[in-house]
Amino acid sequence: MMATISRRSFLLTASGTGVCLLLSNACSKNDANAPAMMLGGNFQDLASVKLIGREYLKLTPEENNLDRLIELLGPARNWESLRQTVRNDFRHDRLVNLQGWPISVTAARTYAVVALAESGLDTTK
Amino acid sequence: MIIDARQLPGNTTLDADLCIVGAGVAGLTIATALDRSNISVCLLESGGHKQEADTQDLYRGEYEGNIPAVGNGYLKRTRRRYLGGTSSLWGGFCRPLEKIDFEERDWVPNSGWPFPRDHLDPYYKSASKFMGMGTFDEDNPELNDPEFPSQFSGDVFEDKVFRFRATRFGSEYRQQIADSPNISLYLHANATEIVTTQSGAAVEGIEVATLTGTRARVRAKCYVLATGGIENARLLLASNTINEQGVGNQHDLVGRYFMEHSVIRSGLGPLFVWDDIPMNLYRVRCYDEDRDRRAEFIYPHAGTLQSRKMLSVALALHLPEKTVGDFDRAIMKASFDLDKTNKIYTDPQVFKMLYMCEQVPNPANRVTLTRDKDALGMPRVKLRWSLSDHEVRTISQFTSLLRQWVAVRRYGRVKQPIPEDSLMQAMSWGCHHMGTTRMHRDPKRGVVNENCRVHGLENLFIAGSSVYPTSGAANPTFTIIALALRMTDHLKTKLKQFS
Repeated sequence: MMATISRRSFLLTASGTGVCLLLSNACSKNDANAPAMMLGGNFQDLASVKLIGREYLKLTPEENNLDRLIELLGPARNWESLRQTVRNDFRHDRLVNLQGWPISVTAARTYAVVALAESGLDTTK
Repeated sequence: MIIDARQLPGNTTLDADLCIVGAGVAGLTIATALDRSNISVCLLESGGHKQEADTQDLYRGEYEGNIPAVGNGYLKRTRRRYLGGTSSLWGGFCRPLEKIDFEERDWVPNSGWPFPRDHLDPYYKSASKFMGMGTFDEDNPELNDPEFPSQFSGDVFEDKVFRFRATRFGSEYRQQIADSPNISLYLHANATEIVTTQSGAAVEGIEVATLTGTRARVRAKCYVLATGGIENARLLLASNTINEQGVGNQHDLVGRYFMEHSVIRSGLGPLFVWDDIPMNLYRVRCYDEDRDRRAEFIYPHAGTLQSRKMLSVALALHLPEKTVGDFDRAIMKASFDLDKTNKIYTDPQVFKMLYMCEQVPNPANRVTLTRDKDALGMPRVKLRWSLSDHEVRTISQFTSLLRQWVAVRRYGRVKQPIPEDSLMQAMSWGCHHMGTTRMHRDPKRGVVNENCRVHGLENLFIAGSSVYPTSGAANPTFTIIALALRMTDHLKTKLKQFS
C-alpha cells in the first residue's frame, strides 16, 4: 500500500504483518536530492498502533493534520533515531497520558501519523 | 502452662519475675525466648485461642482524618485480640529496615532512631533463626544466585530481598507455652491498669479483669507492654490513678506520632516487562507457609531518597494481572516495536504493583481516649490520623522514576491511571500500627529510651512497633521480633540486677 499525501510524501508499505513508514520533506523517497528522512520500522500490529494514534488525536485535535504531525516529529530521522527520541522523551518527561498510560509524545505522534495515513484522512487541504 | 483467667478465684495475686501484657508477636517472642530459663513469666492475653466477638469488640473506637478508606471500623478490622494477636492477619513479609531508616534525615521531621541499623543486625540474624528462615546478609550466596539476576539495582533503585513466613504465632507456640515450666499464660486476662508507686517511678502491679467479672493483680519485678501500637498507648493513658495524664506521659507524648504504612495495592500499575527479562524473583506470593519463599522488592536507592527528599518506599510486584484491557494490550504491542528490533512480539510479563510507603512521624497523628467505655470500663480510643503531601509525593515520584527507568532501558512500561491529585483516594493501609510510644534518648522527645524502657519508670518496658521513631517501608513484624529478642537479652540482665 502506498499513498502520497499533501506536499510531503508519506509512504506506507506493508508486507505481511510488517509496516514500513517513510516520510519525506520533498517529493518521494526516490528523490535523491530530497532531505529524505526515513522514519522506519516494523509495527507488527497495525491495529494497536492506529488505536493509540486515534486516541492521541482525540486528546489533541489540533494535531489532527498530517503536515502538522510531521512537522512536530521534527527533522529527518530513521527508525533508530526515532527509538532514541522515544527514550529521550521518557528521560525528559515529554509524555502524554493516554487512558492512564504515560507514553512518549514522539511515539504518540508516530502512531497518529499511521492512524491518519491509514484512514486516508488529510485535513491539510 | 495455660490457664483460663475466668477460672481464677476472685482477687488472686499472680507473682512472677516478669509480666508480659499481650501474647502477640512481641509478647510471644519474648516469652518463648525465656522458655526454660530461671525467669518466671506471667503472660497475659485478652482473648482465647480463637477470635471471640465480645473480646474483639474491646477494640472498637473512632477515627478522624483525611484518608477516605479509613473509617471507625479500622480499629477493629486491622487488629486481632486473641492468642497470637495480629499475626493471624499477617501476610508473612519479612525484611529488616534499611540503614537510612535509622538515620536522622533532614527532609523527614522527627526522624532518627537512637541507634544505627548495625546495632540491630545481630538481632535481625537471631530473628531469621527464630523464624526458621535464611538471613538477609548481603554476602549470603543464596541471595546472589546468578539464575535470578537483580534487574533494578543501580544508581536509582535497589532490589531488596523479602522473605515470607506467615507464622501464626498462636498456633505456632501454643504447645511450647503449655509445656513450659516457667511460663504461665493467662487467657481472657485483660490488663486494665498499670499501677505505679506513689512516686510514679516504678510499676508495682497490673490490674487484670475478665469479661466475666473475675479480677486479679499481677506482681512482678519487670513489666513489658506488648499489646500493639494502639493498645500500648491506650493502657498507658488509661492508667491515670496516680498521674492524671497517665503513665509515662509527663511530656504529653504517649499516643502521638501514630504511623501506618501508606499502601497502594492496585490503584497504580500495571507494570509490564518484556518476556526476555528474567523476573521470577519479583513475583510476590504472600500468605504462604513455604519457608523458603522469597521475592525481590524494588526500593529507591538511599541516594535517590536523599536527593529527591523522598520517604522510604518499597514496591512489590504481585502475580500477573488477569485482566488486561484492549487498550493496555495495544500499548504493549505498539511499544514492543519501539523497544525491540527484529523480534516477534510475545506478550510481556504483567505485574500488579503494591507500594508501601513510610509516613512522616507527625505528633498530630495520635491516639487519645474518649468518654465512651468498653465492657471492662476502659475508655475507648479515638485515632486521629491524616496523610500528608509528602507520602503522596513520594509514591508519585517513585512511579515517575520507575516509568522513566523501565522505558529508557526498554524493559517495558508503567501505567499510572490515577493522577497525583487523586492518589489520596487510592491510599490504603497495612494494618501496621506504629510510633505511639516512640523511642528517643531524650524523655522530652520519646516515651521510651533506647532500651525500650519507659522514661522515668525503672521496670516498665514496651515491646512492639509502637516504639518505632520512624517506620521505614518494610513490614514491621520482622523488626518487632528483632527488637523483642534484643529486649529479652536486656531483661535477663535487668532481672539479675533486681535479684
